[in-house]
Amino acid sequence: MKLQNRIKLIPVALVFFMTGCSTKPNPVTAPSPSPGSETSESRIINEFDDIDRVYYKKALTALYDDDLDKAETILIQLIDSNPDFAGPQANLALVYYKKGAYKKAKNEIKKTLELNPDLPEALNLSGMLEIEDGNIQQARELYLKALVLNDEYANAHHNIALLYDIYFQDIEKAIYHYQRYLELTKTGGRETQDWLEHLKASLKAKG
Amino acid sequence: MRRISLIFSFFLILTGCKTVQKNTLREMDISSSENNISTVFVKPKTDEEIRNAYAEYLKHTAKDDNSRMAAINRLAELEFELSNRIQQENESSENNPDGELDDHLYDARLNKTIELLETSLRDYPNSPNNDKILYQLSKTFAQQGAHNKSILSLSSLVKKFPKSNFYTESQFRLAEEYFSKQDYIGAEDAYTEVIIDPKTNVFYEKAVFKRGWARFKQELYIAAIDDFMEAIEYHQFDDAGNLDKPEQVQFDEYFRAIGLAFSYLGGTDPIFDYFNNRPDFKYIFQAYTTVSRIYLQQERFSDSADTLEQFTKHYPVSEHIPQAHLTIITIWKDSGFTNQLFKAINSFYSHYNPGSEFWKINNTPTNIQEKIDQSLKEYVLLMSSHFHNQYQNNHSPDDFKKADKWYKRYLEHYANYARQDNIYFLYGELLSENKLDSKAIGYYELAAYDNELLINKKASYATIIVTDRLINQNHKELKQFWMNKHIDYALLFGQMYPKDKESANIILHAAELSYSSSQFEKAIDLTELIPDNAMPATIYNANTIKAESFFNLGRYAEAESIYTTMLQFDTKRKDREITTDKLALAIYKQGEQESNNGNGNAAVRHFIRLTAVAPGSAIAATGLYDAIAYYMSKQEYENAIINIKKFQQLYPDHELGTDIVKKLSVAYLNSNQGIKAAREFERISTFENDREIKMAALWQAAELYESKKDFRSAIRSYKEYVKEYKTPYPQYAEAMSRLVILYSSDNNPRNANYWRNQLIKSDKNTARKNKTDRSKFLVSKATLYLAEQSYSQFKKHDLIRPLKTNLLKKKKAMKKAVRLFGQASTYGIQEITTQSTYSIASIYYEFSDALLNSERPVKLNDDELEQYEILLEDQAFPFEEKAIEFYETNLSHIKDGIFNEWIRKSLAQLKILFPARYKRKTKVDPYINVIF
Repeated sequence: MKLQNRIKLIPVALVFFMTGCSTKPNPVTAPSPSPGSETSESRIINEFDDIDRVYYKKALTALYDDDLDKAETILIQLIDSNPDFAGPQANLALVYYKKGAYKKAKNEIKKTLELNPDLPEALNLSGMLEIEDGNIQQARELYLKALVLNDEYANAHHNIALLYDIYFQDIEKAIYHYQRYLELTKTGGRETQDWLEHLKASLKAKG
Repeated sequence: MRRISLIFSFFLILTGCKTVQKNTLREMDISSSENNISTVFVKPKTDEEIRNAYAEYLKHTAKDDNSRMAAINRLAELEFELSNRIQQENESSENNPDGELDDHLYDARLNKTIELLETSLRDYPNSPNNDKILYQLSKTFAQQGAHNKSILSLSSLVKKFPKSNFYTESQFRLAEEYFSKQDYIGAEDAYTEVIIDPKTNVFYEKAVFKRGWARFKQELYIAAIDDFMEAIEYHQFDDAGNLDKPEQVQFDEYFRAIGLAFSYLGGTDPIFDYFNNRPDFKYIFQAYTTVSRIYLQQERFSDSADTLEQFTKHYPVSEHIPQAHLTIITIWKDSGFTNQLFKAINSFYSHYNPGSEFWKINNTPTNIQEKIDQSLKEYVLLMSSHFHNQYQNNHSPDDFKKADKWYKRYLEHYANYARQDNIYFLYGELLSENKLDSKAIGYYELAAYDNELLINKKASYATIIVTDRLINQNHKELKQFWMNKHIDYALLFGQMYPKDKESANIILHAAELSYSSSQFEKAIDLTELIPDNAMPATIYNANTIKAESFFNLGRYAEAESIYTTMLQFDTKRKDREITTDKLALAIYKQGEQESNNGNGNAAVRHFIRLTAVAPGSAIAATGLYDAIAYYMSKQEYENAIINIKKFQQLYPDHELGTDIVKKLSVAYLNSNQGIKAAREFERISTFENDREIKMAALWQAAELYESKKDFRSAIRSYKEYVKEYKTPYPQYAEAMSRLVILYSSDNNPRNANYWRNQLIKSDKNTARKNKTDRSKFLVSKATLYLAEQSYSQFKKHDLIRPLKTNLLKKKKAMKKAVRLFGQASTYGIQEITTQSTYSIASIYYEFSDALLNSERPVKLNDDELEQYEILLEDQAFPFEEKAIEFYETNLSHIKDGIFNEWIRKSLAQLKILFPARYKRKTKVDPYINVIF
């Protein structure tokens, strides 16, 4: 069964191979409509064989589709045969976060950051998990580090804006990061735009 | 008759050679000649038969018979022999009862002899042999005691027979007779007749000597000396030193005669003048010596000495010079003229000391050398001794110097004999008497010891006395030096003379010194020399030193043994107490040693036996205390408790009593006897004087009661604590807090609240500086609890009709709860502050909600009801705003790193009350497009 799947997945894996490798931090500004599309950049690695790439693609697709169980299964298999790769580990953490299994998520994200401490998405996810544990200061540090690594990481800007807004009640910083989020996403959403306006108004009212 | 025989013995000796008459009557006298050898046997006749034969013969013989005279003379001879035999037999038989009869027979025989000899002379007056008859007659008269008749016979002989063989002897006898009758001229002439007779030398020397005396008696001293000198030279004496006794006697006699003669001549010049003409006379020195001796016998000491001085002057190279010097010294010594004696000795020393010229050129005979050497040593000793005695009598520095000089001379020349002559000791004495102890000790030591062997008891004693004085006189280092010597000497003395009456005191004193200079081993050695029969006080003091020494050496078991012995002495109560204390300390130290060696159980045995051996000693309690401490440290609580009880029984007022009670408490505590422990602690808090200890004990008691769930006792103890110890404040607050807990556990909320309020009140009355985080926490907790109670009250008031009344009650409860929560949040305890803030927010929110959900008035129409509800919302909205404000207040702590339960709850509430802000979510990546 697995062998058959592998044979089928070969063309997809090749595409992924061509686009998935980079030595730079991931420049993704927004989630791709579908993993492995022309718009998404990938990093080239030699160790991750083609069959693994096919499976990885399937995992990411399942994750994107909120088929969290499927994504979890594939990612666990991939991690089992490729324990030194941060990407599968980070996505498994994401699966668990989305499932609300924060303890498991935290465990996986810790392994991810051990493999690649400069992975902005992992840092962002780690910040989100720290908030769940009430470690607000730590979460801020992780967000900021993610942004240092990738200042165009829209979700990180949003999340740190929210953190400044709610927990630190530092409206000025919240406004800055909301604005950066909106700039990077362009279609950031009406809700965020309205709240930004509200904040600016209340700040102005305070003088 | 015997006396007479003795007088004539000399005479008989002189006449020992007799002439045997050979006559025709040979056959009658067969036994008288041993030389007659007959070829025909003739039966020997007895003397009696012979005499009878001669007598018979004479009865019948005519005067003109040629043989008659021979028979008379022969019979006279036989009678004389018989008289001699009778005399000899009489003398040899003691206690002879027939003595008188023998005398009679003796006299009869002599008379018969005289009668026969006189008959012969009368009947044959011209016989040529009459010199012999006269000589025999003189002899027989002499034997009979008829002295004058005897002399007359001799006078007749010398007159009639100048050529007789008996002439010289007869002249000599006559000279003696004249001399005895002080007829010195007659004697001189008669002696001269003997001297000039060329036929004889038997009487020559005697005659010369006696003529010298005869001349001496006539004060013809030089002539007398000439005769004496002649007698000496004729005799040919051997050298003076080689004479046998008879020769020496004679020699002395001759020289005495010479000496007397010179002495009568007076002074020393005659003797010099006389011998100046006879320089070869070999006995000149003897002559001088004899004269000197005679002067000495006459107590003419100066003349006696001067005679010898003259000899030394006139005969400077004589070998007898040293003897002369020595004799001079002897003269002055015997005469008692000390100045002259010392002068002579000084002179002698100058001449003959071993370093003098005399010994370098000396050719003196060995025996003289030895005499000089021996005498010089003797005189040096004499001088030392004399001046030493003088110094002892008058303490004159001059005498000291002289004695010192002579002792030094002795030691310079005769060091090898110094011990034998006791000079080291005596010189030491001299120096010591002059307070020169540091010099004296060296000589005392030489006298007393040969290496480490004591050889002179008296000197040894002196070394002990002097070193003791030196100890007290010198500076520190020397003091130690002398002390060590003193100790060593005392040790030797004690070992050698343990039974000497001074030994015990010497040893004791040395032991004291050894102890005081920390020479404990020696002190012990010394005390062991104290004899068993010493005074009890001495033995006791020695034991004291011994025990203390053992103690200082860490030999505590031995110290204990000695102290135990000391307690058997009959001493004063105070002394016994002191000894008991020391005994106890020795035992204690044994325990301490065992403890240091890791032998805890052995140590404890010592500590505990202290209370049996010396329970009254100061250290006994400490020992027992240490035993208890040991058991405590080893968690042997049962043993600890037993000994603590013992301690409390024996030493109820001991200063460690408090600590003991604490230990007892701990022991109880650890042996699961917590309540007993608590009681002990509580007891401590009542009798202890130290406030800190009392306080701690009461607290301990309360905690123990509490832990053992004796809550009533715990409450009693904490209440007592609160009552007595308001400071330090934190502990005071803690006590009230404990009361809150205990009353709460005991379902007594009223009392619990009472103590909460007391706690809050005390906090208000306490300066900030005296508060701690803990005390603030306790107060804030109490306040929070009261606030929560008010919150509960608040919740109970529903806004139902009558709305106004209930609203007032609810508002009042709200205000109280808010006030208390507000108060609770002021203590700076983060947890309580956030809880209080959350609670205040919740109260406001709930009040807002209660208003909105309050029971509506019954008679309102729809419009009125709508208006009413709008009014309600207006009333409620500010409280909701307040609620949001307080929840957000809690969120403000997040930036300080705080995110606790109450903040989380506040955030949850805010998500409900202000969702537009607080319910917004984070943005999650759909996936993470990364491989590594």
